[in-house]
Amino acid sequence: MGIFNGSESLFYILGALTLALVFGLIYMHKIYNFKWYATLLAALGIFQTIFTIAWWISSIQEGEPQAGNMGLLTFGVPALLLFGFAQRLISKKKAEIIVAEEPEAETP
Amino acid sequence: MLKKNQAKQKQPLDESTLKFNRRQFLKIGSAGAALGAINAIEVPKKALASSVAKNMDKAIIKEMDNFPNEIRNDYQPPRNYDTVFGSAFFGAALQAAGKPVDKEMMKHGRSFLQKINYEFDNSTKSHDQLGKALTGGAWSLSNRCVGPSPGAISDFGLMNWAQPQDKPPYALMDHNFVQKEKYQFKSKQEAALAIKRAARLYGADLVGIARRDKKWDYREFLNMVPPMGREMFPPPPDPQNLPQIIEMMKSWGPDKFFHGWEQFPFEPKTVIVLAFEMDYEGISASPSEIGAAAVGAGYSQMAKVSYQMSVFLKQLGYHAVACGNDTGLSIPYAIAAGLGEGSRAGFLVTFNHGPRVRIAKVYTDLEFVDYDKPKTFGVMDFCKNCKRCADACPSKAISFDDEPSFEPTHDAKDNAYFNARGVKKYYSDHRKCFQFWDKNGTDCANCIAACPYNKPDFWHHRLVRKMGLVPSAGVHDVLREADILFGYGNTFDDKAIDKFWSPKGRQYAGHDA
Repeated sequence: MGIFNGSESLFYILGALTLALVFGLIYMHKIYNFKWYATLLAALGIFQTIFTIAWWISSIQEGEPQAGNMGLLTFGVPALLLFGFAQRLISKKKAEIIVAEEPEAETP
Repeated sequence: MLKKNQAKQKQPLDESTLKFNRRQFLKIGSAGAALGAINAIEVPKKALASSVAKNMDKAIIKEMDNFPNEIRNDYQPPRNYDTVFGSAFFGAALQAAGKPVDKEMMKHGRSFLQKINYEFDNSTKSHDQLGKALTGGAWSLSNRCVGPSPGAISDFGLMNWAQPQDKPPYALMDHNFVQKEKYQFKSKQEAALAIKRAARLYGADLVGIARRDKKWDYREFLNMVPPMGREMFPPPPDPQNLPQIIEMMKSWGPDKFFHGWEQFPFEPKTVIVLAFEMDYEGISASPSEIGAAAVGAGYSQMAKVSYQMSVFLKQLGYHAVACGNDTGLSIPYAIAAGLGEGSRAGFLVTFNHGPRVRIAKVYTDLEFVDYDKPKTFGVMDFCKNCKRCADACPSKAISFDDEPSFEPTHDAKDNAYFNARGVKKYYSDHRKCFQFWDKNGTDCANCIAACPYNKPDFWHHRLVRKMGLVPSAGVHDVLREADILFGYGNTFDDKAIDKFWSPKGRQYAGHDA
């Protein structure tokens, strides 16, 4: 838009993205009410994701694409792993809730 | 019969649970608005941020009461011709005066000057005419205004030692004279801050103030330029003085080429050290004409700003002499002034620009000033494990020793006239270094380009720099390897030359229209 430079736009967008992801996490927590360690893993995953995007775009802005791509690999893979672990825990909790909601089988 | 999981269910799933109700949304929104309001209040936010930054810097950067390197009792400061440049560029003057000369360096010096002044090769990207033109322009101010100062020759051009007491009668405007009235600063702190602010206005990126220390001054000077040839714009000769001038010119000879501090016009008390950042993309293109241009632009900045600072001090009523590489050793003075630390390759590593700086000095008799102290932030510890500069050096001139020493350990250690022995540091073989300069046809900055501390000033590099403060060889090794994997510090890279010239991301007219 010609108002903000690259760095200013980057951090504004990252701020908005962080807010959106945090809201998403809170929403998921309301639905599934998962354990504190699942919340922690998901929060760390959010932080790692934001850090990865910030690193990647900052490196591209500096004209160091190799640094950006290595950053995606070095920081992005742990972010995916963290989300993966958190997702497994959330899925387990989701399964518990679904089982609890199934109608009681009638006893013969 | 209760189902197994019924006890674990905390709340039933229904629509009110799934939707954010107005109350919850208001709670989260208010928290966000409160954070926004804090940000909007500029003064406390700035004060808080500044205080946090200051405390973090204080935790990382250690202030020292004494010079951080050990110095042996028998250390003797060098002469200004105890360098490879002495023989390479001024060998004829040394020979005429009957001094020992490194003949091999004289040969390389002649060859280097021929190449750097005249030669280019349009079949290469690194040494084409465009690059040569860039180098020529970059060096031009330094060449014309301070001449042999980069070769450690003092008292020439803008770095002339003369202390005029009035402006020349033929000059419309010229402030290069010592004011009769001395400005009285209210405090030493005010004096220091005024000096630093002036230096920043004139173009210095970093400025520090150190006490004059004879350990870091050259103990003897070679200057083959006759006195009347040393001024920048000498006045038209007074006809009454002509016989004297002719006599002086006739008697000028090698016996007069050497002098000590007796010719310095005042007793200096303070050395103001100025550092200038060199272009990151330019240095990344080392060892090419582009890299040489980045260095040359730094030298021209040195000439301009140090002269301006010397005039500033003269107008305050103090004596001042602008210096580049001459008169004293810039790196120890810069360390003493708190601008950075020494390193494996011998250059100064600054906190935010790494080694990508050039250094100039101003000697003055102003004493009523707050002096800075040396500061360290883990560079020498990091250098022990890193060795990227030594790996990147094309002529392997930089030491691979694990620990620093008081004496050189390189191949030419028995005839290392160019090393100032007796300081605990890493010693490089400058003959090997200059031999590559000759082969390359321009100066080389590979060591600077390869250094992990050489980074643009951006958040993620500041973060990694702070990680480097962990005093662990393992951490340093990881950081070093990551620096290579992430593609930093490459040399002999034609892509860096393309990137330097690329218009991508640059606005030359302040807009993209």
